[in-house]
This record gives sequence, C-alpha cells and structure tokens, in this order.
Amino acid sequence: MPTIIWVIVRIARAFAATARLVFDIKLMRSLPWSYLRTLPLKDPWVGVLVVGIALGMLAIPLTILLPLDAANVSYQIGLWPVVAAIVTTWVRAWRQRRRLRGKEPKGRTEFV
Amino acid sequence: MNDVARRASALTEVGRADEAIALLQRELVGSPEDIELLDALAVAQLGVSAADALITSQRLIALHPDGHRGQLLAALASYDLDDVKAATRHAEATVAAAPWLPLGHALYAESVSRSGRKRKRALEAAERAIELAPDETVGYNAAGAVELHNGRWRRAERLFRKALELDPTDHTATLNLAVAQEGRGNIGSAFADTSTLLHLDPRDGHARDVLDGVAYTTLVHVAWVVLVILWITAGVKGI
Repeated sequence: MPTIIWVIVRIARAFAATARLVFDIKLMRSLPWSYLRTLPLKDPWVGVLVVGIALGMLAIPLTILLPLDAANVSYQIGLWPVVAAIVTTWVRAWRQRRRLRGKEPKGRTEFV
Repeated sequence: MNDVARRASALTEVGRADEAIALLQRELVGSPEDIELLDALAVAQLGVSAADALITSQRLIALHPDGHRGQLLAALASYDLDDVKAATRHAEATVAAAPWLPLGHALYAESVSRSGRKRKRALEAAERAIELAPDETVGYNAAGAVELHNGRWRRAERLFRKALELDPTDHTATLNLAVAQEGRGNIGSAFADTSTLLHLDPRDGHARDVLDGVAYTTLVHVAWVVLVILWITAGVKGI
C-alpha cells in the first residue's frame, strides 16, 4: 500500500511540475536552450534519461496507430527504456544520498 | 598595510589576481616573512589556486600562530579543496582566535555541515554569525547551507530569501535559493533564477551546476509522465 501511494504521489508531482513548466511560455523562452542541448552528451545520467524519454515518446503514437501485434512490440520497445531510465535515477539518487542527506550548496561563504 | 600589499589587494578586488600574485611574489623575494604580503598573496591565490593559497596560509600560520588570518585563509582554501576535515579544523581555530568574527563562525558551520554530521552544532555556529552580523548575508547563507545539507528546503529557502533581502545581488544566496527551490519541486523558479545568473555571466560554473541539476530533475518528471501515458495507451489498446 505505501508503495502504491508513493507511486501515485510521484506521478501527480511529475504531471504538475511538467505542466507548470510547459505552460510557462515566458520561462520556456528564457531558458538557455543552446546550453541545455549539450547536456545529454556531457552527462551520461542525462543522456540515458533523454534516450529513454525519446524512445518512450516515439512509442506512444506508434502504439496507438499500429495494429495490435505491432503495437505490442512498439509498446515494449518504448516501455523498457523508460523504465530503465527511471531506475538509473534511483541509482543516481542512492549514490548521492550516500554522500549527503540533502543537497550540496553551491559556493561557500564569500571572503570579505 | 604597506603600499605593495594595498596595490595587490586592489588588483585582486578588480579580478586581476594573476597580476597581484606576480607583484607579491616579486616583493616577497626581498622580505619573505612579511605577514601583510603573505596575507595579500593568500587572498589573491584563493581565486586562482586553492592549493597555493593553502601553502601560503600555512606559512602565515607558522609566522603568526596566534593570529586568525592564516587560519581563516587556510579554512577557505581547504574548503575549496574539498578537504572538509582540514577546513573544519582551521575554521575552529579561526573562531578560537577571533570569536568576534562572523566569517569564522559561518565557515565553521558550513564545514561541519558538509561533513554530514552535527547539524545542531553547525546551526549554532551559523546563528552566532547572524548574531554578530545581523545586517550581513554571511550568517544567513551559512545557516541556509546547513539546512540544504539536511534536506530542509523550506527553512533553507527562507534563510536565502532573508540574505537576498539584505543584499539582492548576493550570488551565493541566489544560487542556493535555486537549489532549495529545486529540492522543494519548484523547478520553474529554480530554472528562472539560474537562467538569470547565466545570462549575467555565461561562464558561471556554479550556476551551470545548479542548472544541470534542475534540468535533470525536470527530465525525471518527464520520464514518469511518458511512462504513465504509455501505460494508459497500452490499456486503451488492450495490450
């Protein structure tokens, strides 16, 4: 039961955060896209996530449009990369949590 | 302060640390035990090479063991070198030598919290820094850093906002406010703050680190959204 509640809360948070971001046109325009585009190549954790999301997104219309047998294949091809990408986020979080409980502050007390 | 040390400090302040270091090293050949020159050299080196700054501050400690400047500079350099134990030790010595100095308490708080333990002691040190300098950002930034380490986003956010009330241009507070907002799930604000910092200085490494973190968190949310849509699609299709 706690796992189900956790998954529901996680999904609700994900939808809310994504919707807030996507519909904030002003913010979306102000983002440094040229820099953000380079991230998947620089950071393997980001790269794995982007590949998983891309395959998952591609599988959605194919699963809807293709006949059942082919749709099943398309669904499997989309599903497992997304699941693997989400599992990598837990691995990354676990590695970070071993180092510290919260987040690493950036910078330190400035020298005055 | 002698003329050369003053000139070097001015150069460091305007971002010409390399010139300051060259000037001071030339001058130190003639007077290698001049405390003011060594102090100015360690300050200049902090922005260029923390390892060199540590060596210089250790020379300063050896020459003036009762003073707080050498310990303070060694604490800053050790912190930048990720040597948390040494940073804590030097920050503790700074506080012992200059209990009236808010920076020493703030550095002690940040060093202790970075070791991942003793939240209470770290917060007490940060609160002491706030008491000593209530109109400066130093104590609030230190207390916020302690709370960030402990995953207390709301408290951290409140402290960084207080720091920004005192100085709206405080870089550390702006960055760490974005980190706290990301921790709370407020990724829009975190994106906005870090994007603003990067527009001001595209080479800002700390701002890039925060932006990387926020971008990653966003992608994690998107991955969950895609997963759920895939499940729904499969359900509708009868897979």
